[in-house]
Amino acid sequence: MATDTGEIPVVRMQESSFEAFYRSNRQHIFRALALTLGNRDLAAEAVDEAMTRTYQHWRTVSGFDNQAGWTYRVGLNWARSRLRKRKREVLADQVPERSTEVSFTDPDLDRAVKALPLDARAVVVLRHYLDWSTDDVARALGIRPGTVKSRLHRAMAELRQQLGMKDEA
Amino acid sequence: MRLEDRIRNELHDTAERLALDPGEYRRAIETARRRRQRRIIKALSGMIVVAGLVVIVLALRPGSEVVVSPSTTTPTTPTTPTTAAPGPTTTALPVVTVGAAVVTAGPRGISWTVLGTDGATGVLESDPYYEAISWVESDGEGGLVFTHEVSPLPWDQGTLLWLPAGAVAPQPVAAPPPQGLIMPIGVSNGRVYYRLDSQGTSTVIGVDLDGQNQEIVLPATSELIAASLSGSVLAVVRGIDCAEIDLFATDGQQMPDGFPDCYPASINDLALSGDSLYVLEDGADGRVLRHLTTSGQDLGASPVDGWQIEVLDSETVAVGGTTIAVGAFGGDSFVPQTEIEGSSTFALVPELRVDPAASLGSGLGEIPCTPLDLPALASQGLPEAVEAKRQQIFELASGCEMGRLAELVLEDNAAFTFGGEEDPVRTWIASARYGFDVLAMSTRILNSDPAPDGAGVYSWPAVHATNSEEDWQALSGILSAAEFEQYYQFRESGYLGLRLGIDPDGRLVYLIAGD
Repeated sequence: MATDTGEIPVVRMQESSFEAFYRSNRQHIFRALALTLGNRDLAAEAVDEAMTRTYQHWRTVSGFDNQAGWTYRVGLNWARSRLRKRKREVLADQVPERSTEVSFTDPDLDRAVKALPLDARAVVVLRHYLDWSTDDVARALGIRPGTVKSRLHRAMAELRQQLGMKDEA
Repeated sequence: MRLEDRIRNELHDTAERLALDPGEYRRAIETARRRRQRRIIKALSGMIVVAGLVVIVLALRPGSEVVVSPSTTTPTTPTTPTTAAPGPTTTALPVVTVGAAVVTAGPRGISWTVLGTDGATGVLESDPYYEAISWVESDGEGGLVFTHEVSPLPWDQGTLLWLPAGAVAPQPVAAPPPQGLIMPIGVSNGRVYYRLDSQGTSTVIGVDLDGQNQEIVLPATSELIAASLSGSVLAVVRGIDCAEIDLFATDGQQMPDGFPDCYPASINDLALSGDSLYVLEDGADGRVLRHLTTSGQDLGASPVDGWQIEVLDSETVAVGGTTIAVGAFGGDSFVPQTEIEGSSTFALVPELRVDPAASLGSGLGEIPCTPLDLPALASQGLPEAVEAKRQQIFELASGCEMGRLAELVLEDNAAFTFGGEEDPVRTWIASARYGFDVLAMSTRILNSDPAPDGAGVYSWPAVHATNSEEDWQALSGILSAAEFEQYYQFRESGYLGLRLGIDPDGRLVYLIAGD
């Protein structure tokens, strides 16, 4: 809408850098959210909401080391709030509708991962799907690196127990 | 195969099957702009959106409208509520245009945004360091009942709090048991009603605001979907396969109603207001907001895009009362959030009388920072500017002058975090909650010997610049045995604990921990 106000270059530069971010990250963030939430539709809504908010705060977010991490966190928080508010979906979260459920091919692993708390699932997905470092995961989730390590450790121990595996440590 | 590899393979295989329709980045941009424009327009025109016995749909997504069911719609029985009533009417909400105020309690604190008769706005902010509020409601006596997204110390996560009129600090009303979750429903006659989710069941409980006299209103059930309170009547919807709406008095007695035993649509949420019941249901063509009466009459439905509904009593606002809104995640606290998004909620506060200095949570006073009576620093023979800055930081840190130390950090553009946080105080408060007191540690490392790092910056402790065994051992006099061990095990990567750097010109370059 700006014409000759002098805002055009700034606006365009902002749009341009956001577009690059959007194109290269939307799919990854969606997949990470879907794997974390176990729900494809919720993840799709969450990533779109998170992208909108990312643009709203793009001046700040574009300066972050891990912009995708911030967007993932916004999406996860949004979805978490939505789950909390929509009580029916909280229940459905435990038994997701088949059409939107995200399932692994390995049923045992699928069951075990879904039994993990959401926070633990987020750490597992960011570390083992996006291959982010402990620090990147910590920044994305707004927690300390030590917390990431302990959550991951507990999650893996829980999965081993669920899967009847011996502790490899 | 290692478990880590097995998980990694599964995650990648599964992700490959997850395709998202190509997104159009401009959609996000346009949505963001529309939201901003709407906020600005409403703020400048000095309008506060209030509801005159209407339902406001929260968390509206782009392009959606605030919709009310027209009361003039011909009543029908709710036999086919999955289909929206033909030609739903969109009605502009009543507004208060003059002399009103919006109080936002968002991620950046409680803010009073005063809307003058000429549309001018003024803003007062207090306590910008408390945690975001997830739910808030008036106690009817000038105070607030609320919960945090993340309950600050010393309260357990999910604690329901009460900030009475005139008080500066809240007090706990109820805290969830381990693995339990409190979901507030409403406040009525000095009692707050909440849903306690624990071990797969939900129980509706009423408790006096002082935390005494707790009573179960609705026994534990695994099928509670939503509940809403209006006066002394509680509306609940239960049942997954067959949703049933029931009315209860707050003493637990079931009341007569005109709703079918099995509601013919999935219900996401409901909101009760006097004789009106608003139901947010999933219809065949999308989500609709249906207006029913408690006797079962269907007064019409409108398509909506929200997922949560609340009812506001308009009477008080109409005479110039105050509305309190809880900002959305990352929202702008200084703009009246007449359009509420995301995890927001808001409530009417007819007479807000809490102390302007009131903290809703983790104010600085709660931070375990005790001024330290330490001997003055001995000179280390450093350049004058460096010594002066070292002394200044030491005095601020030992005196718990968190705000002034933050000013210094920002003035010098010093690094204080590896995250995206822009406020040093928030960073230090967060650290303190995890038991890492940056200020106290600063006083300790400033008593150690410094060493210039590769950029000529004087670094405390010296081991950060040298990583020598000798300097590591010197740390043992600064750190506790546990702290020392924690850092020493990663010595190959260097010292990653708190370090402080001052350049020869006396500029604080970093006060930071981690990597």
